[in-house]
Amino acid sequence: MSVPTAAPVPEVAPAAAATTAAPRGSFALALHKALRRPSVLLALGWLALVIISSVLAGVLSPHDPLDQDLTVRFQLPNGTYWLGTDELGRDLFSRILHGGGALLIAALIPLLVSFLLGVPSGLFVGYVGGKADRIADFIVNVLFSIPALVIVLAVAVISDANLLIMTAVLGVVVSGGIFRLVRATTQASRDLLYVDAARVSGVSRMTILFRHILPNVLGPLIVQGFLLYSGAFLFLTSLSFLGVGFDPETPSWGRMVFDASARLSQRPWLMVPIGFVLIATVASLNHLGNSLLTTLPTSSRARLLTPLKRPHLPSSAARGTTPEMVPGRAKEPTHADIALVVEDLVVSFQTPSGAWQPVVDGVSFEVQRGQTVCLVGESGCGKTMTALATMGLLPEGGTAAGSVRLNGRELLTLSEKEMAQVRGSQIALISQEPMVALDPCFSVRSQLGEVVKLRRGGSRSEVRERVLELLRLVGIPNVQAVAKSYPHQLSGGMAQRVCIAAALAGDPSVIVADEPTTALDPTIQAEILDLLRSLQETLGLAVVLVTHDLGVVADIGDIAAVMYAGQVVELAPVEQVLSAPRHPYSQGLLDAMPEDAQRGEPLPTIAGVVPLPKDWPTHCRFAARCPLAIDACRTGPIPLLVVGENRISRCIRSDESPKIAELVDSGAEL
Amino acid sequence: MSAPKTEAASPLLTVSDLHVQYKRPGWRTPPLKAVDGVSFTMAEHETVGLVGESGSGKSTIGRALLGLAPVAGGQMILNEHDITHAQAGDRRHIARDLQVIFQDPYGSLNPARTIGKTLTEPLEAAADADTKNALQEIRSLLTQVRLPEDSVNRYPNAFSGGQRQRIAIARAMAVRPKLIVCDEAISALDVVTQAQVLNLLGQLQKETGVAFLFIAHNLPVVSYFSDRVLVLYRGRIMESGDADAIHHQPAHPYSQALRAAVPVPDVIEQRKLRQQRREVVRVTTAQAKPAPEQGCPFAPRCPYAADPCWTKRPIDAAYNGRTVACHIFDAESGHPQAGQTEALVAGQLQPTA
Repeated sequence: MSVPTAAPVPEVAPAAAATTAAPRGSFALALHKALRRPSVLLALGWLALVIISSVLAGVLSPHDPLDQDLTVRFQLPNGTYWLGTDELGRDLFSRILHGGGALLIAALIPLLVSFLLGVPSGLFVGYVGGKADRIADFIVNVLFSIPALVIVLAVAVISDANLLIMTAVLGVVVSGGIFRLVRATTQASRDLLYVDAARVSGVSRMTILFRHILPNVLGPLIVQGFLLYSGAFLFLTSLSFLGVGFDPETPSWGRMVFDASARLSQRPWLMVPIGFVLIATVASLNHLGNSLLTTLPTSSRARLLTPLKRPHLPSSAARGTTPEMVPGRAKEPTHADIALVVEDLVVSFQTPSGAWQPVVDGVSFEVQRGQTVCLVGESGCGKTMTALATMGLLPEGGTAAGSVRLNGRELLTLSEKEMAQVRGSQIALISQEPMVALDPCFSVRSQLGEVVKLRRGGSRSEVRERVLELLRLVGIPNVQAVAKSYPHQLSGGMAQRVCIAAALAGDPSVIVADEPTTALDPTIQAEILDLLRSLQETLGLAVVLVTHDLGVVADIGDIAAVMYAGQVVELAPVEQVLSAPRHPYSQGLLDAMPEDAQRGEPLPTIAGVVPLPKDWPTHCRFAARCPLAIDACRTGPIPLLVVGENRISRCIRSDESPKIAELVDSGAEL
Repeated sequence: MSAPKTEAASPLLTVSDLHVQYKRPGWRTPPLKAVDGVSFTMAEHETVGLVGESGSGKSTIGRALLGLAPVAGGQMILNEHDITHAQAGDRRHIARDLQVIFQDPYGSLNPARTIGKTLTEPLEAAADADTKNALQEIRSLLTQVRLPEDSVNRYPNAFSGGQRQRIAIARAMAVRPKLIVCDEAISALDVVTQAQVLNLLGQLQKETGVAFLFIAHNLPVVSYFSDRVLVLYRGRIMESGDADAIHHQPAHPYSQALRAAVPVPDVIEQRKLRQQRREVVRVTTAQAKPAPEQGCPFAPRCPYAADPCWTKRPIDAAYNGRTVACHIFDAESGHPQAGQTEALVAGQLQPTA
């Protein structure tokens, strides 16, 4: 079972607001978003005007809508008749005010009927499935094949044009659409884990439906309601245009259109006011529904990574809060073998108050060709953000400062167009979720082919040959069959191999692997790690690997950069970090591994949680959870200290880390 | 299949010859055998670990117990009640003995309901619940899982993954069940949070005597936390027995492969383990042939596979207090290396060609 993870979203600000405010449902959120559009406000305003003026028609209208005065036939707008008069000299404005009410109310009836029929049956059938589903589907198919207008006209004949019966029948005919919508949303929600949990607790079916499933259905339902209402509105207008349903004497919008159309060539003005009102009303209803539809999230999809935007940061944000202070660490001349240099990298997100909150705070490391640097730490330590920033990819709203140099070329100052060239051809990403990284609609061949074509070009047969070569390179035995298959036909391990092949398509010199094996089974993980290792050897790749598993670090890493709360706290060759950590946090991570733990004994673990970026103290960020913390740890920022050859640690008591003390006691050489 | 050694008196849970099958799309496609004849028992206070890779059926066994998977055959008896074909209406009663903690703490809590409402739900559903004391109960539950009492009025989005998992634990503990199915309950957490949650579960077990069916894919974690372990592969039990024994001396070739696959946080040890794995695993999963319909499901990946492995289903052979479903452990199986168990366990058996 894989863990559906969205792109990690740094918890900068939400937690503070979230603790007090209720999370808004997806519908409320969509409404909020929609309301920010001026066109939506305009539509709402028009509808409010229509409703209010229809309600107050008796008060507002300057004339009796039925008052005939043959001396003032076909008047154009003037001081007495604001919108002019019709062929019997009746005031058009008053007739419009009076003619909407009945229509607006009558259009509600099909809406009500279709909801009453469609919602409960859709909920029930969607939840239960099976035979009930097949029967209901058949009935709905029949309903869909009935032409609504013909049926309603037939009913009109039988019922002597009883408006109530006609609109109710219309409701029945269109209820199939509501049913389908509710059923589909219910089917999508019935297998949610919290629904399973309720089922396990023996919560009754009714309660589950209303408590856990209906709220998910409500959003799309309201949207559909708007569209349905405007449809019914238009339908009824057409009916009264045909002279069915509404009393021809009482003013109605449909009747007014009918009258106007009869004299369109001689008196075109007649059509203008009523035409405008009708079009504006229907368009407003449709626009509201559509705006909600487009702002309503269709599914909880992973947040898209967007290319870095580089707004001008205040220098405080660009610098981070703790300047690197590494006494005795001379700037060495850039080594020819160094593929990637990250220096003082700061990744910040803007809080709602406008301030820039760093989530990665002055991170520096470098990767040589053929070397793997592992970024290790708990969730929320900034390791994924660091890795993504080197690719020039961050979640929306994030920005990076500092320096990232790839083969000597500064990446952070490149334009997005230039960066797109670099990405894939010189630096490539392998993500945690191979299944999410692949597009389900295209075969492996066409997805890989597209990348190859983009990076290398070449004829169709060259591209095809290269795709197969890439698949062979990642250890896939039956390349022809795999090339033809679609992502859903691949196992998780196979999908990750395909993703690695895609990453290799542009012959990159650096691979950024963000938890590439976390979602995989141990046996597959071991195979993928083997593959990465052998690719690295044959291709001389430099790898930045993000993981929280120290076993993976031991297996594939050369250098470990242990990160805590946005900073590197220890940076050293992997053997040294794992055998004799010089930072209490590294020691804590190591102790929490259950490998050698005794059954029944609690695991040694670090108490508490990683603080949110907004809660980072200015002194040692680990002090609150550290068993070695003393007053000196809480007086100011702790610099990175050189604690051995190629080793740095952000701890003033690094000599006293428990295991080190133990080793000193036993006389072992450090 | 014979059940592993029977526990004293009547066990808390008896699963015998459980089969779970899923229909597959297609007209004549045979159903997918997610669980294929699994039997085991659990005593009160006991932790039994189910370990295996995706598709091994470990989660499906848990879901079958919870009434979330279609049982095609066999029997499940919980606390002397047959729950094999329990209907939705029976679940209220079963729920008082049986609860669940799911893997994904982001999906298992309804985002639109407060923690208080989420925790009240199982209490309400339990027939004898006293809703007046519910709030009191919930506050003490929250304290039990080390969360502040004022969490009651907050929504899930105010909590981190580890904290959400504590809430899921509180929900499972609310009705004081006898058995909790932990379906990959710690697999999505990082190592520190995982250790915190494991310690919490261990503590709760000491306090309440609840039994855990602990499902995970990481053998070291499972054997640290469990008394007994069942190693599953393609819906069948490959090996079962004492957790420590299986962890330190896995007998079945599949258990060995599983053990060698989990990297250890020590460079030199890991190098050895990697070497060992190369010997144990000859074929990558990508290269493996499909499993035989009869025979042993692991045969395509097994370095010791011989003719009978492709044609005859292994019996559960006894070995040092465990059972091992491997022809090498069954002297009469006709496997050319049958009986050479010590060499196999020590990793000195010559792989077959």
